[in-house]
Amino acid sequence: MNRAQRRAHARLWPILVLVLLSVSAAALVAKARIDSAAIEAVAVLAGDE
Amino acid sequence: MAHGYKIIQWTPFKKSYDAALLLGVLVFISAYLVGALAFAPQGERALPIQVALRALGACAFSLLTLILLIGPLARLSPRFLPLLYNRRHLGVTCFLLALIHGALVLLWYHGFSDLNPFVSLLASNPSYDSIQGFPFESLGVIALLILFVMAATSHDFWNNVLGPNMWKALHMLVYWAYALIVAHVMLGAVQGEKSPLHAIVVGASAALIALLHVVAGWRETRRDTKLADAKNDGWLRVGPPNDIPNSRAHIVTPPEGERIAVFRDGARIYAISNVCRHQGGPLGEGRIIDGCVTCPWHGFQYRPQDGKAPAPFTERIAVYRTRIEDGVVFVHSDPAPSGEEVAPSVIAGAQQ
Repeated sequence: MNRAQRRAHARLWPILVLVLLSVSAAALVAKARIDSAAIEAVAVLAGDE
Repeated sequence: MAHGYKIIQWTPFKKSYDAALLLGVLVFISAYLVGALAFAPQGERALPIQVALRALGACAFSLLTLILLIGPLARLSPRFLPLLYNRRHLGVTCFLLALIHGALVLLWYHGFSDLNPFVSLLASNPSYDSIQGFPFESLGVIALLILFVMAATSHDFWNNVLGPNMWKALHMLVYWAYALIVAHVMLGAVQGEKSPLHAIVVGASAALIALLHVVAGWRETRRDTKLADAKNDGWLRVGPPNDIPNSRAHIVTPPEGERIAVFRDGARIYAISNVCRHQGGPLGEGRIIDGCVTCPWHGFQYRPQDGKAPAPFTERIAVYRTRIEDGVVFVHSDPAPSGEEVAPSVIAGAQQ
């Protein structure tokens, strides 16, 4: 790689790491909310019975 | 090289590379299908078409992960260079797998709609303001478009038309495509899975790629800041000539400009630009074969005395003057005039 390409990589990767971390964290939080909502729904249904 | 183009210039190495690639893809997809259809718990078993489209998507993702691992691995260790040589074959295969995955999704989930399947795919879920239920399909579509552009321009013809810098800038979009695919899987398949396996595999793959790129980038930056000892008159200290392995190079970093590769060919010392004209490969990590410096990335060759590619090719790189003084090699930081032949320095008492 030439100097410009190395600079481009050095600028890009910190941003990409942040993007990957944010997306993964947001997705896992969303999944946890969906799972807990499903457990609550099952508990409510069981209570109704 | 730039002298005439064929779709693929087949060599025995390329044939065995592609055979291994095809075998790997078939084994991956077969293993995924068998695992998902035969071993999934009763009640959680998906339809064969759903398993097939997931197998194709998982294979494309794994292949893209491998493609992105090869670059930093090859920079960290030359053992991985053979994988780099035909990496574009992996890229085109990855795009084709992703395309079939997308086509199956379109047919199975949107082919029976009253709407046009493409409209249905992009408009059926407008929840762009929420992470839960986010229309992850659109992320996959954008990633597929990027992979298409890259596969379509992967041939050296386009590298020559666009120029190496523009071509490389375009192909760096692959990192954004990867981020989009990670988001596509995390906000899509992972949300519906009871097992955490998908989330762990995707997260670990992305973390490994990020780690290797950051480590390789950090090493390159350190090299750039470790400048060669310079005299006031522009001569840079390289070191004792016999410290340079025969047919190989020491790379020095001048205060300004590109790195310089100082080669030893028997008793002769040559210096050339470290940057290959093809895709910026590190020529100083290659070796001299048949009297020509050979790029370790894709095999482009240059004569060390004048920087010209052997006929009929026309590429040319900068060459530098060298001298040996008190048993130490020096190289001048200014390149010789373009096309000028520079006589090598000769190691006194050594056999040529």
